[in-house]
Amino acid sequence: MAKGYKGYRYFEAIEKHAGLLGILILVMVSLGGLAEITPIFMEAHAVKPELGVKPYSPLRLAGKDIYVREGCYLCHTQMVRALRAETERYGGYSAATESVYDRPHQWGSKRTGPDLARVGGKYSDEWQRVHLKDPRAVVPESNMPGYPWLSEALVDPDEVQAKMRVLRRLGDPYSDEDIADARAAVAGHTEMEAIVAYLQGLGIDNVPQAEPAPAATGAP
Amino acid sequence: MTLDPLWGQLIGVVTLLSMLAFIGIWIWLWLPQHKRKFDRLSRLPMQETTRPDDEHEDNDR
Amino acid sequence: MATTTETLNGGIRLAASPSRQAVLAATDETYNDHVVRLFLLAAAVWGVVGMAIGVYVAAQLAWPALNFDISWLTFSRLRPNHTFGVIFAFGGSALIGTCYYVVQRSGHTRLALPRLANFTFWGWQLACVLAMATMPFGITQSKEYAEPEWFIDILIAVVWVSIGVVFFSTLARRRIQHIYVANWYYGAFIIAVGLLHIVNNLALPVSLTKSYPIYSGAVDAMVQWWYGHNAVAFFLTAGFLGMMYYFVPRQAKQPLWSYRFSIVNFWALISVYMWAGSHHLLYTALPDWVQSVGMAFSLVLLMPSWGSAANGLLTFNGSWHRLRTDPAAKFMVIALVFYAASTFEGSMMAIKSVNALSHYTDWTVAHVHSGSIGWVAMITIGSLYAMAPRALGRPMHSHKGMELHFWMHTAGLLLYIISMWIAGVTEGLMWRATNPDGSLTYAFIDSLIAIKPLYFFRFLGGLLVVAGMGVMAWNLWHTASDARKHLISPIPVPIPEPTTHQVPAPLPASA
Repeated sequence: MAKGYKGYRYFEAIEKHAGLLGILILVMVSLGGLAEITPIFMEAHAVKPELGVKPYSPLRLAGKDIYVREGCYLCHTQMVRALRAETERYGGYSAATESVYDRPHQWGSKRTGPDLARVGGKYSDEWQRVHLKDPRAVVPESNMPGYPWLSEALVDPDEVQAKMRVLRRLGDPYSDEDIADARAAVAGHTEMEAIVAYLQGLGIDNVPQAEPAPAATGAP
Repeated sequence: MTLDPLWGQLIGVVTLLSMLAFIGIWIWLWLPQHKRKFDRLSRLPMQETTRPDDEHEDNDR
Repeated sequence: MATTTETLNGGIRLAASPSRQAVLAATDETYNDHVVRLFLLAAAVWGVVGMAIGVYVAAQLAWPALNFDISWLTFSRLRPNHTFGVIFAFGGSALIGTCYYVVQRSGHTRLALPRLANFTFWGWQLACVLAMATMPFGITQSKEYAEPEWFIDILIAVVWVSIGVVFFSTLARRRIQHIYVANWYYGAFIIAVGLLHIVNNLALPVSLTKSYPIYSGAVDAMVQWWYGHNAVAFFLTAGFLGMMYYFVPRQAKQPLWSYRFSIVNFWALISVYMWAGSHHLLYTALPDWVQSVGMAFSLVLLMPSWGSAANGLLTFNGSWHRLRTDPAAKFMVIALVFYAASTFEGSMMAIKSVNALSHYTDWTVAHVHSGSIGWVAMITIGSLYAMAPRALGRPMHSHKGMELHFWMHTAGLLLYIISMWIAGVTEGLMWRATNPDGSLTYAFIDSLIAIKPLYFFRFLGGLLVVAGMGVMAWNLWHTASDARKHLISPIPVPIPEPTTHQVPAPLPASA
């Protein structure tokens, strides 16, 4: 009984003191996140891009940020799940190594349109341009919006260089030379050209070059 | 990427402790001597006051 | 002024006392309902705005030409405005407003730090306006449900900490010894959302309008869904449960079915939810063990979820007749039913084999909206209708208006989720259908053609819901006529009945 009374006093302290209540809440809500995120974090350095895969080229980096800006992730995933129906439709299932240069990740959560993780090389550059401008010109039943303004805007070389410098500070292996060359690589290109370059590299530029075609490596 | 076994043990211990704490809370709450207190506390929302000059402030018809 | 105080001190009635004769002595403090009214107004406005944007983008899915090839009217640019608008602008304003209302009443004290409380209102509105004004122009982090760029994130963090300071300072000066359980939920909501917001939005700016998260790839995905899932847990669940635990007993006019059960559910809910985030990433490139832990905890989560729903519903036991007379109670009961339904659905969808079918389809959309239009919006609307007469000084302007709103909302909700359920299952089945030789039966576009009519019905459902919100806004506007003319007097804070052996000793009646 004496023991029970002691326990009662302690719990009473919790419910009557707002500060203590707050701290206990903080502890309880932190446990789950710590348990799951910490090990992933600690082993994050183990997830290296596969040999020979470089960070985004300047034009593709600009394209990726246009993809991010336009909100493509709201209707397209970039994550082929390890399920037969998916590898059959899209190609080999996605590995964590493929998205190490994606800030933020573009795995997505909804497929109003198809997955794009392996879309690179599936269509011609011309098809991609026409489709982005007016999707229903090539897919009459599509409900994707047109993005005609992409062909009118030019990629800003200064901004691309600034982005590469920030990414280098976050750990992406860009050299001084890469950043210096970026200006010439993007100058004069439209946003349309940039995003098409990005899309055409998906599933190709972020997986090892040794394999012939990633689309053919679907699980049996 | 595999889970470090030590990490697994740690998570197991944390889960066990949380569970014990949970059962402890349950037992504590249902101790008979606390019943009256909680019954009184649960009446708090019914103690809302109105303005001195207002008669019909609820939406009832 | 002196005479007013005297009158106030003369005695105040207990609203819920059967005879309305019971009189409590009053302190010379009054409740600060000014800031509550502001949040109430903001919630009504953002509710209409956020849901109207939702209807517009839903229409674009059925008729894609509706973006008129204008960048900032395009679905992918505007959808974050819908989610931010309804979750953070509408839900956030309603949560903070009711939180300030409840913490004062359940602590028998005036809100602490009135200037800071006003700052939380204007700061929160500024953050919402800035977010809604920048996202359509491509100024976005593109982290789902955390789209606003870094400078808005900083403002949100500052405002959020201020809300915490106001809330906990008010708790600290309460005259009731015990902290009523609704405040526990509000407290968890404030602490956890602050933690989630800051950790998820850590980023390095490139310029004012562009930043890169410090996380990348799989780590970013895990952090993002730890955030996304627990925003649901602590913003859309814990916060609104706080609302429920105060306003449901009040409208049922009887105490919670089991106060003790609400405490058990509290600790279970806040500790289990945080583990379940990885169920958003089943079968992806995330490590297997994290996926399995997420799935297991999602199933455990059903217990505290249904515990809370049952506690709320059973509170109406013996008081069901109130549903005939009080539309606020009606909103609350349906809200609880949908809370139970959508948490059950959520746990089921976290099972790997179900998730394989449901994920990436419109089933997820149906699930989210059964939780948001069903649970979140209806418990909010119920609580607003319950709170408005007290905060605005007169009964709701139109009883018929509330009834109409209830039926429009319920019909719209059902139309919406049933159409999206059918669409989601159709997509899931068509994407996995194979011919006898193992090849896929349908091209992707076939599934879109199959569900297009359902996108139209979803649009209709959304239209009904937002029209109902319009009725509510109109009703509240008329109810607020006295408040606008400053004709209402503040409500005095009563002196609580003393309890024996009260530790710490109660605050004196006068400051």
